Amino acid sequence: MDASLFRIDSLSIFMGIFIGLFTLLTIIYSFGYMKGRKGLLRYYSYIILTLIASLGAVFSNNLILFIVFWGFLGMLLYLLIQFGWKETTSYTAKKALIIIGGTDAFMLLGLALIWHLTGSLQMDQVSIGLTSKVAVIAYLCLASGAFAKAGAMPFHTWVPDTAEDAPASIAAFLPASLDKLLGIYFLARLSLEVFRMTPGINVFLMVIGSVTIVAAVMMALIQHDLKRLLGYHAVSQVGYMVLGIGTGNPIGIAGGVFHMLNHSIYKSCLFFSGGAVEKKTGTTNLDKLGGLAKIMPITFITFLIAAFSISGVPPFNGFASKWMVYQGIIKTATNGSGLWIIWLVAAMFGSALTLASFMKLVHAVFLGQPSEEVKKKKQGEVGPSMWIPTVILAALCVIFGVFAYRVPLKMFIFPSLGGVPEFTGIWDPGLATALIVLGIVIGFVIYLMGTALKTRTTETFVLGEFIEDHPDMRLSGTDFYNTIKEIGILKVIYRLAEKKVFDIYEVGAKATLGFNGLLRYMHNGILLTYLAWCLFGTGILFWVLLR
Amino acid sequence: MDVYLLTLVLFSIGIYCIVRKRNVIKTIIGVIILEYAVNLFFILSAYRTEGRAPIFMQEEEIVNMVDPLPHALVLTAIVIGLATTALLVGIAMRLYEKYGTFDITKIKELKG
Repeated sequence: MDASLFRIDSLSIFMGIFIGLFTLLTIIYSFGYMKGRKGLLRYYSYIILTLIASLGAVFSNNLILFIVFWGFLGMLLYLLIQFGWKETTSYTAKKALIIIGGTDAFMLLGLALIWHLTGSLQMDQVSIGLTSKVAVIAYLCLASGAFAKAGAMPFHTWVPDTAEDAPASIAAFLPASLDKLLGIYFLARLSLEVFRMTPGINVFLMVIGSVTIVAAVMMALIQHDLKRLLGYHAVSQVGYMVLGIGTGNPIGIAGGVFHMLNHSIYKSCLFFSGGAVEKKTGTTNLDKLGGLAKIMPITFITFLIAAFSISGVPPFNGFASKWMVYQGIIKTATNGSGLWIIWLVAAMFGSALTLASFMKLVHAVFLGQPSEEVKKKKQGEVGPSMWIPTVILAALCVIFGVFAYRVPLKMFIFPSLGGVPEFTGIWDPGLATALIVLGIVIGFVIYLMGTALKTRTTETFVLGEFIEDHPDMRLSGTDFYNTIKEIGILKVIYRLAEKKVFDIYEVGAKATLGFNGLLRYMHNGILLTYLAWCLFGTGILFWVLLR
Repeated sequence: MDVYLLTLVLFSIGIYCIVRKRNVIKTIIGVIILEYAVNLFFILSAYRTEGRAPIFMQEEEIVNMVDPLPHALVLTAIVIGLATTALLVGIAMRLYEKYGTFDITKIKELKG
């Protein structure tokens, strides 16, 4: 049998191109963002090593080789998070390492099961039907690694923490782009090549996807930190990719893979813009930001484009891939089960909530009245090495959306998945863009003719007080959705979430420490107790050996 | 058979003394009792009813003699027991110097 260690096909080439692109942009961005920090030599070496390990992972054909590169990436993630400067950074790094390392152990188990089932570890030679229990366990073990890397529930909790505590360049580089690419790449390889899917497993993937979309976006709605909010969206969007792959039909899978690419583009853009805001103002707390649109116009525009893109507003790229995922979901209706309506509602509801939370974010950061901290900053954009990558990514958002079929799908997605899937419905991006632009222009004209000319601007009236004496008398966006915390069942869920009941790391830590506590209680330091235990053990040994 | 059971009782007293008594000196006495119980068991296992000492003599037929091997072993064990007792007492003295107490439950540095 041919046992080549590496394989080069169109899917891995497509992954390789974008891994290289994101690394390049991150390095350019870091020139500005990390300026003046310590240990930059190590920082850039780790980034280059991450590039090499990622390329090794996507081009490897042997599963052992793959898992070596994969484990190496987990360690580099740990080292790169440590470059953050918050107090909780080392805790976050440890958490990410433990979650990713723990699922790596599961992956090794899955690997052993594959060896047991087939006697081969070459990805292109293995094809296992998910009929026996062992095969299902092997699939779940390997998929847990992909879920942890991509940040799907229930292994998502390291992503928001990392987004908040790591430098913005690292948040954009690893959790937002490279780890998504790799995690979904591995899930796609597993689901399309190594295993032959069954309807049951497809439904399982779709449940995971739907829950991830809705739960993470609900958490994003109530966040108060710019980077943490973006981190929750990075979790939420993974749901669409898992959902797309879970549909099991060509258009849904193509949509999932395309969404993975689009997500990496717009989420990197958002993190880069957020990092620029952090660099300019020195904070990511939404209460302390506001009115930055006039100060940082370029960042505002790129952020706005990426925000529309992630919310799935046509004609940006997020819509193109979400539309394909929706089509894939609708096509699963031909299997005869009525569950497709649930997945569709979850996906669309999640998309609407994403838009809602980005309205809050854009208002709190860029619009509204400037806060006291922002007023002190002088006019001016951050350095060019920080806005050039965001502009490139924003341009990609527009290009991949408007020319979705002509550029990314035709060049990358369809060759890598083999064959053009059949589309349902009519969607011409060019025509739609023209119509949307026309609609916006007409709306603007009507706005100007109707209300805008009749309004007048006036000072805020605070019962004769001076507004300058009351800096809190401004509307920041952070309180927009506070009322949803008070609604019935959501109130309970949010309270539990704030106690970290849904955090698999915290739950695992509690279980481990509880077990430790039991052992500590038994080790009371009194010699007589130990002797009694020894005697007891001897008695059991005699009973077992001599009965 | 009764004597064996009595040996078992002696053995159990030794175990009880080691496991329950807090004073280190009492623990050492428990070890000694345990040791004697084991020695006694060996000697009893070698004994035969109406047996005689295994001394070889001319013009005499040797019948029904007790087994000499456990006797020799126990003789050695008693000597070793003396040495271990001395060691135990020495350690107990050092413990008292260090902690100022013979109470084993007050010495809790193994606590996890």
